[in-house]
Amino acid sequence: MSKLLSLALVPAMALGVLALPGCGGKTVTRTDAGAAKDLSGRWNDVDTKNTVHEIVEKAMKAPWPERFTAEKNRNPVIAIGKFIVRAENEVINTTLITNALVEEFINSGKIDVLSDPEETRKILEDQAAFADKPNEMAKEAAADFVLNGEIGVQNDQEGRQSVKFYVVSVKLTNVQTRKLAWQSSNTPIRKEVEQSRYK
Amino acid sequence: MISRSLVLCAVSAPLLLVVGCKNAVDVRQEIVYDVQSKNYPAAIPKLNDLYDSVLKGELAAPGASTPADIDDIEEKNELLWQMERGAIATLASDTSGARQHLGRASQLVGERRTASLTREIGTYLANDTAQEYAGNGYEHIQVDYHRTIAAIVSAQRLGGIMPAVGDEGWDLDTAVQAMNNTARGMVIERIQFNKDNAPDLRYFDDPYARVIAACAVLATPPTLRAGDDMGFAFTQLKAACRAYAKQSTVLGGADGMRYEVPRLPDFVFRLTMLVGGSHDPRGLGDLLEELGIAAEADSFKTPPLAKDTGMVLVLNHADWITPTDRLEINFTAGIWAGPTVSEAERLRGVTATAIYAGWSTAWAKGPGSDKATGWTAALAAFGEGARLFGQLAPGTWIGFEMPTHRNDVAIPPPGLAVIGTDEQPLIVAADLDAYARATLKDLQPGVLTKTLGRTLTKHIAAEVVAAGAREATKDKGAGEQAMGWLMGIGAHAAASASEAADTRHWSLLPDRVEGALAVVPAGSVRVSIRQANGSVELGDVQVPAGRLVIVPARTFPNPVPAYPGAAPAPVAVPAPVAAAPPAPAAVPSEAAPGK
Repeated sequence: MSKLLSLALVPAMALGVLALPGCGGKTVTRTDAGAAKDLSGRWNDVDTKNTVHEIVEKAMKAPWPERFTAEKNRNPVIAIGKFIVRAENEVINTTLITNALVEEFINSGKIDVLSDPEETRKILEDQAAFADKPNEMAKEAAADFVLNGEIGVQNDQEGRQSVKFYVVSVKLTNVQTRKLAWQSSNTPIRKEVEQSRYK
Repeated sequence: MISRSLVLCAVSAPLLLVVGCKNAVDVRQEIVYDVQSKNYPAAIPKLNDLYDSVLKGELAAPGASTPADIDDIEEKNELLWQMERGAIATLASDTSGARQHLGRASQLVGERRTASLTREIGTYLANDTAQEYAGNGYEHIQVDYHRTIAAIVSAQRLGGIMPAVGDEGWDLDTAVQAMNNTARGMVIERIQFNKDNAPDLRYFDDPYARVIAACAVLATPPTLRAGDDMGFAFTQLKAACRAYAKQSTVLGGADGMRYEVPRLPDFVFRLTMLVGGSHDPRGLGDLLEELGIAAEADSFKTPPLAKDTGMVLVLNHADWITPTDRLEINFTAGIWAGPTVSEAERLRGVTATAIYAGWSTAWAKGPGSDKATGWTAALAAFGEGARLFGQLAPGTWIGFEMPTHRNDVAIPPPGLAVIGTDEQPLIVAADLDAYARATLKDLQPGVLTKTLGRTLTKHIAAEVVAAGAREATKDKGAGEQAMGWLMGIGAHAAASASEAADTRHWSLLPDRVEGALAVVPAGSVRVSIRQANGSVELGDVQVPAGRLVIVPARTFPNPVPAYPGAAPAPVAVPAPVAAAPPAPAAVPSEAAPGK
């Protein structure tokens, strides 16, 4: 009979093992909005904030704003164009990036931003239409420059381990001359993600 | 003493009965028929019931009296449920719903790469259905494929290329980003993961997925293309050509299955020539040499796209993937058992093959049961011998199940895509049925070993219980001896009943995808498909110059038959041709597929 008892105990113990992972609850912790917490290795709010800050800082240090102000005796006006994102299986909210850029540029006091989306759309369409005619002068526009960007991701993956590099590059084009006024990229954001074999 | 034995058996028997639903295969077939008939209100409660999941406001099961108050989704089968619901939303043209379900499915695919200890232990203690469904490699790619197509359709609606259908829930820029990035994830991350983690599979690549990733770029407005997009597109097309060629040798001619994709589908090659010719002529030349194709051959010459023309690619998702069924192998000692096949089973192609040895019976039941005759004959001989030598009591039932597929049959000849005035033959570009069959065949040896080991362990344990019960009652009266005998055969029956084949699979996937490409003048173009069983109107699309428009379709040249008691299918009415939408927002200078 003791054999029978052990026989019954084996599945009972196994059931206990199966039931264990079901325990747990929910906790909510309020954190500082600037604190970095990477959960999935994807682009997050801190990446947006740091990248925008770096881009604007580099833009201010570049010669083009001063040169423009000296020549025209006013602040340059830029239109924030498109941010094109190519990141595997990831959709990044580019509106957050463009909004943050607008905020940082305006707060700099040295660069004005075109706020009319319709005017911005016209400038971008005009740019696209003359993409293959870079030497042709454009008509007067509401902005002096247009800023476009790309976010690219280099993903190196081996088994359960992956390393992601996010590179953000921006181009500032003179709307009238269609010449590239400034180009820059951020310090690549590197994220390592490792999935354990078991959870 | 007998009462204690009874208690122990009563405790242990239910533990052995941790099984999946035995009629899940029939229910899945009913759902497939309901969806084929566009009877989504009938299909959704069945699906909810099958996978124990429901959304607020839906019925949790057919005939439920009130809708659910809250979302309640069971973790174990969530991936399957989300995939099936995503497929239904896609068929119902609900791109927003498809995005929601398939987005969650994609997230689960990533999460379930991490093997769960619970899952692994459960597999050995009970059966394979006890574990979380993690999906197969080809299904993981299909999740992202359907997400890509849903995003492309959404972007085409937002861009005025296809008629608008309600609120898409996002803007054009986001839709374009989603279609490109999902496609990139599909071909870079998913295929690589399959390569790294499926050593038992004969093949892991997916050339069709690579073609679609390239097509997502070609369907992107030039103002929203990234600098490396065209390079990426050509890289994917090159990889697709190589993968098609390899796949035709690895899957083509494989035993017991048909692979219906030609060595290089015509439209794939034309796209490769077009993109390579404008973007990387040297790379194209190298590829042609590698594939053994003479670049100067007239049949392969593809003129560059003229300034006032665009392209339309029709993707016909045809029929249903072969359902995973179960093959039962059973033995009854001292009983002549006659397996029966119900009408629903017969419609699934189930047969039963029995072998009688002395007073015992062994039988196989399932699609292609005759192929298991060797197993049943061996089991009958061994079992009858054990019965004769007193090792198995009369009435003992030993059984187990294995997942299997019904016999493969040739597909009907693909039809024609009529794009404006151009008629193009549809060519099979993806044979999902072949992937499903090959995957199961490749995994079957491992599944069989695990099943046999588990079955043997369970029946040894059951025999210990049976022997204990016999020993405990041998000096008692006839009534108690009968009780002991019943406990013994009950323990074996519980062990057998607890063995259920893991037949879970994404049942609403098409059998194959056929494609046809046409170069057409920019502007409004009417699209339809002509097949042996009738025409399907796909409506009008506005083709922008220099761009690719993708028109997905779902057809059933070889429909599944109605199940007993099914509601009659709605009378086939030709789909109304959609009213021409307003002209797409001006996208100038789209002369060539190059950026």
